[in-house]
Amino acid sequence: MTLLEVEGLTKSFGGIKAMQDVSFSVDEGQILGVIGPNGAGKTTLFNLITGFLAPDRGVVKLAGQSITGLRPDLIARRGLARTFQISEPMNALTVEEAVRISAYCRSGINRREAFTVAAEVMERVGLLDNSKKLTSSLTAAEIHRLEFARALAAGPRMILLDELAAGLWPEEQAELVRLVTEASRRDGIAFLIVEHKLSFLQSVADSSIVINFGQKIAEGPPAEVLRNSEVEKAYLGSKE
Amino acid sequence: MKLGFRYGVGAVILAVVVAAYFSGSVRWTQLVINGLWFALLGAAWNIQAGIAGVLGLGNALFIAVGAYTSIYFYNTYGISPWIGMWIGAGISMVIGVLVALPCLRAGLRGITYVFATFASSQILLFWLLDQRWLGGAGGIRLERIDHSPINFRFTTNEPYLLLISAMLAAVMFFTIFIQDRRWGLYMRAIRENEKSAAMSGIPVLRYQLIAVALSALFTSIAGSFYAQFQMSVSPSAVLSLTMALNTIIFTVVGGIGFVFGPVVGAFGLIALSEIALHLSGTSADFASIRMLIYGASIIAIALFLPGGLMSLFDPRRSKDES
Amino acid sequence: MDLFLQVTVDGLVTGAVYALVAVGMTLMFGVMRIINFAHGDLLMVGLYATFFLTTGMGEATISSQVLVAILVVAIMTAVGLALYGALRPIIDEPELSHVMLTVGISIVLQSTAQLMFTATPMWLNAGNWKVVNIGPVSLEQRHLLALVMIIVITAVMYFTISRTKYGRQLRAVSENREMAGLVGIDSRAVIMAAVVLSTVLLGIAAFVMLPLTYASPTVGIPYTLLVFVVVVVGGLGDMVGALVGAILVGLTQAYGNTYLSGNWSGILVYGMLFAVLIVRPRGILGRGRVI
Repeated sequence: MTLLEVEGLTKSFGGIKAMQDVSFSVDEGQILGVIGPNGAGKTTLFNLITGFLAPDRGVVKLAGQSITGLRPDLIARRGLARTFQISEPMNALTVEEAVRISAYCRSGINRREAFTVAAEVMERVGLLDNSKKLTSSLTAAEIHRLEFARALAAGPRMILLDELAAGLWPEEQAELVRLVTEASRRDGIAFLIVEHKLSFLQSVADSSIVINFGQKIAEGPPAEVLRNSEVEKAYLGSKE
Repeated sequence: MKLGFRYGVGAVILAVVVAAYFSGSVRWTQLVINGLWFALLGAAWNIQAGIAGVLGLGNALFIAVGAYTSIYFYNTYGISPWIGMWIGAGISMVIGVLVALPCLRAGLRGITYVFATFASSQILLFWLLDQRWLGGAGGIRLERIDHSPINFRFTTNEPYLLLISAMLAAVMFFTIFIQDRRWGLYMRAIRENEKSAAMSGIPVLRYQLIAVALSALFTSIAGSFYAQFQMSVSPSAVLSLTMALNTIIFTVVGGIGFVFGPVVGAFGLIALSEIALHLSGTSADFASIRMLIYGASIIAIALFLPGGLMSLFDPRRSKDES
Repeated sequence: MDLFLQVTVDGLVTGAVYALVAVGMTLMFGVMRIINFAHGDLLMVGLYATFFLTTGMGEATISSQVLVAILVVAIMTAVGLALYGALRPIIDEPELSHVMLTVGISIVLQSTAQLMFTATPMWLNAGNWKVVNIGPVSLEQRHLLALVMIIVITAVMYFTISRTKYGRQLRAVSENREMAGLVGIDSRAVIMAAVVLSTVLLGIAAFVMLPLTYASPTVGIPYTLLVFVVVVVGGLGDMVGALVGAILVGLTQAYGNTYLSGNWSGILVYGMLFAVLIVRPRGILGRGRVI
């Protein structure tokens, strides 16, 4: 069952064509990777899908309903969660508060239930012991887990991961792989993953698309796609 | 923040208020009422600025609305200020949202939002100066003074002291209460990072406007108190740059986001200026010396303690948690 | 029609005065992003300096006037250095700290002036300023001087910021201090020069303006407010924009005062600020920096 459909997504800034006619889809439970060099348009793609940018042309549909140009918070409430690359989210809030806020995304949830959801999610990602800590005092790896927790707490049907493996040690990365695959298998959550660390991508994604200069230049299983000569050219040999 | 500090500060303030109440001195009760009133202005602003991060400079507008409506409705229709102040609050909330909405939507933040909101208060100033039916530059005064508590009139200062203390306490309790509820969490998230907040499902603009409306509500009530206590109001008294700064300076000096910030800032600055009085003796220059000390302490805070006085107790963060 | 022309000229003169005062703020706020709530009070300092020096000199000859001007510039340079000294520790702090500091400085300046000079406004002797008649319009020489000065100063400042090496450094530092440091620019020196230049410009403005106004502790407040309107309406950081903004504000006030009322001119001026912020945040000319 198709969950996310992106059709003909196009966006220009001034004279620069940041996104040109990009189309792809993600099925329920599928994990799709987005590969591409820096400046290729991956973050623009995420911003367009999650409502932070409005496309010049094109449609984004979630579960058959158009979410193009909708406000980010409304898109989030419809089941599309996202992590951010920013290193200092919600500084003055505690871990528990940051996660609980996302729990309120779930329609009809009350105060007591929000506490419960937050506790469950924190335990799942291994942050329960740190729940009273300020997010400003977390380590980089813990922040990444917090971002994931916030996405999970919203009860989404799909999560967009934005470079979540960046700067992680191998053990931490393996932990993230486990969390993603578990969420996919156990909760049926679909994933759209932007990632530089190809090793991470290859461990989780079933399929992938390659973006360069705002255009989709390849599509297919990661291993296959990475052997594509076009893709190699795009990366100019910078593989991890 | 360790609760101990908060209770300690609260106890000191309470002691000061109680002492003033039983002192029997008109001068002392007046002074403490002033301090509490400034603290109330600051506490109201703290909701939009300290919790939601909306830094405006237009709250003087609500003081004016609250003051004028309470006097006007009493003079014209005999409506008790106890009711009149809610009319003023309602009008203030509407105006507050009407002004904030286009500004926030247009992406004005920081100093540009400060200018836009200040401009709105100045527009009201000039409009009031122009309206003869509202007294023009002279303003309006209470026309019938009937010394009845039903009409918000008391013969001595002490009941006013109790009233303003209760109002301030109510706003402070509200601030503490809201921190951990969904509304408060949403606003605090907005203050931290608007994009991240939106991604957590928070309708950012809506909650910023709610914060502004709450701030307007409490500030307007403070304005009504002012009008009833002073028995009159004029545009230049409530809409000057000085009054605009009064709505923010005590919170900034005490510490934005700290529940006790406004009251510590207000009493701290007032205490300093009282010390100035005693140092300068009888000179006619007292007002200027007091302002000098005032200004110098603000400079000192800006340079050495930008997080505010309360940040001495909690340097890592600039906000309270319950 | 004659009235219209006269009012227009008066508005232009007022605008020129605002522009004189606004140049310094464009530099500090528009370019350097330093908010200075004490801007008008620094003007006040310049006005007092000019007043005492001028009356102290006795006879108003060309050479004595030149001496006064030089001394005022020297005094304002010292003031600027002091201001920079106060700003330096918090230059990288968020805007709120700058607001707090400069509000404090504003209050200190006003109360000190009050203590030293009392609140009595101090006017220069009217002297014999000749009146110039251009068609149906009459203008005093001192107003004409203000107009000329502002055009000269704006042109010089514009040239400085866009063409000279210092101007390039200034723009580099205001955009990205770290990068500027990496390419070898001493941003502290650049900022210090900008602050001092601002206060010196205020000194020049005060020197030109004193014959048109007076010195008193609170004379600066309206200027601070109006000049904020000017730089926002004109576009933050743009010298020419500031001139245009000043003229617009001056004309609005003149027409408002004459054809409507004093209060309505106030409403129009602040309404203009509000409208520009919402609809055209980069200023009337669209050349301001993004807010």
